[in-house]
Amino acid sequence: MRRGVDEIFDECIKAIRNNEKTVEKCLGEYGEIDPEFGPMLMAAARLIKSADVAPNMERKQQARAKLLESVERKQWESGVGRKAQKGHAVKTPRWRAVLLRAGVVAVAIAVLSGTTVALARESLPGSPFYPVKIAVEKARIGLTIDKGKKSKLYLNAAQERISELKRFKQNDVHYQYLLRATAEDIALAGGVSGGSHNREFEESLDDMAQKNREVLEDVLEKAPPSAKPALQRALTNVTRDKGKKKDSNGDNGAEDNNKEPNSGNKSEEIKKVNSGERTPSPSKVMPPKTPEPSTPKTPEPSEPSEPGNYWQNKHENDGSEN
Amino acid sequence: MDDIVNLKNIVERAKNYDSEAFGQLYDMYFDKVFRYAYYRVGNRHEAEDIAEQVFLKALESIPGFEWRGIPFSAWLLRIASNLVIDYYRSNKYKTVDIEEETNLALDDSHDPEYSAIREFDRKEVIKAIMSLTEDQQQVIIMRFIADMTNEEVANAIDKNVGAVKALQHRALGSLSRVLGEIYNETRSR
Repeated sequence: MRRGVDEIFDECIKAIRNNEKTVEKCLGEYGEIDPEFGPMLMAAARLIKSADVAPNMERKQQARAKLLESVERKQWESGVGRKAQKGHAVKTPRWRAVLLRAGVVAVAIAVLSGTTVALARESLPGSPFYPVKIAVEKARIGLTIDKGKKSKLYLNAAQERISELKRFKQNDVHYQYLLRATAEDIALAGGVSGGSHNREFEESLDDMAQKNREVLEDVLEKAPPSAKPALQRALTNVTRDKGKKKDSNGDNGAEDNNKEPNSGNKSEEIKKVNSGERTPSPSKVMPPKTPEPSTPKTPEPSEPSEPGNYWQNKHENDGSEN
Repeated sequence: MDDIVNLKNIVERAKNYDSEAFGQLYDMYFDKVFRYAYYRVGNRHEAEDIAEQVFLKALESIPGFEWRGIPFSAWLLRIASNLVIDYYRSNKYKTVDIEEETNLALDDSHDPEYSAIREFDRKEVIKAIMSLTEDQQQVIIMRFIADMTNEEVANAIDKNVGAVKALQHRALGSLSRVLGEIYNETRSR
């Protein structure tokens, strides 16, 4: 008997909630089945009626923005690759970690012989050789003790990611991945070197910004909070230098404009970011980038990536480390 | 079924700190968490604070979340319940007056007169709920304010469905008496 009343009660509650029945109609139909049914149903209906309270919208949006900022920070603190590395490092004794790293390098060196070397060097995300390339990079960085050299290697890795991403279209999933990877490497380079306190790091970043301003503006959007100040500073310097150059050239500044038709909008974007003003992602609001003839956007594995910067530096560092 | 699969997918992405997925969970559940907190503490600002804290706590704990028959909303309300306990353990609640809340908590989506009536009604309901035991409050708010099933409530408060129904029965009995008294008091003024 008790169970029957409970079922009818739940049915009535559901119907009242969905506006299919009123309290009065339910009471008319079932009010006689139990003396407690009526008062309980009225109390429950009053609770349901009171449930339409809503939070202040502005406050809700502020809390949402704060939460998403925390999510982003959490994401960077425990990036997929680093999360695995950190977890391993905590559990593994140091001597085992050193042996493990040495083992990885030995295997990587063994693997990177003959044609594999060439294939891995020129590989892009999506290629079966790409993980080898990344593994060697990580092993090399992991084995470097000097903080200055380590920071340089991270910046070289960032530069290599930039060279790679120039071979993809902006809407390609690999492009987005490489933007994040670049931002991560720059953040790690800054973290190792002391960031804004290290002049060499700042100069290297300035140099990178001079050569890859548009890409770094996209990277800025993806960068973790710790890397943003250094990137913003480097990009602001480039924008300021370009402005000075344009001023001193007078009408000849049109040459620059031909090279980078979006420079005005981008500069504005950087100023807004610097002043703390939130703006939509540049990739959403800006027209596609002008393709650079020397670096096609579509993957061409047979063509070597940008010469001179990454592998060249790596070999230089090889020498210095040994 | 599709909804559950979709929700599981969103939660899995949120476990990897996917901000879009977290945003979706926030949009889906913030109001429900807020309503729960509001009827537990009787103050809009405190309820908004608690709801905000619930999602920040969820961000910390979500890697450990596993689907063991516990709905995601029940998991969030369990966090909210702990925060409400913390709130009452602090001395903060002593400075908050439900009476003073009436003017602050006016619903800005309706005209002022309608909002005032609704808020007055809510104030009575809150007072009545506050007269219940802790367990009864949990069950009543989750069942009728947060729109959860008996099974979901049972999962959220670690009791069986029979116990939830018994708590609900006793709580509604008390509420009907208390609300009746408040109603009579109001009319006699």
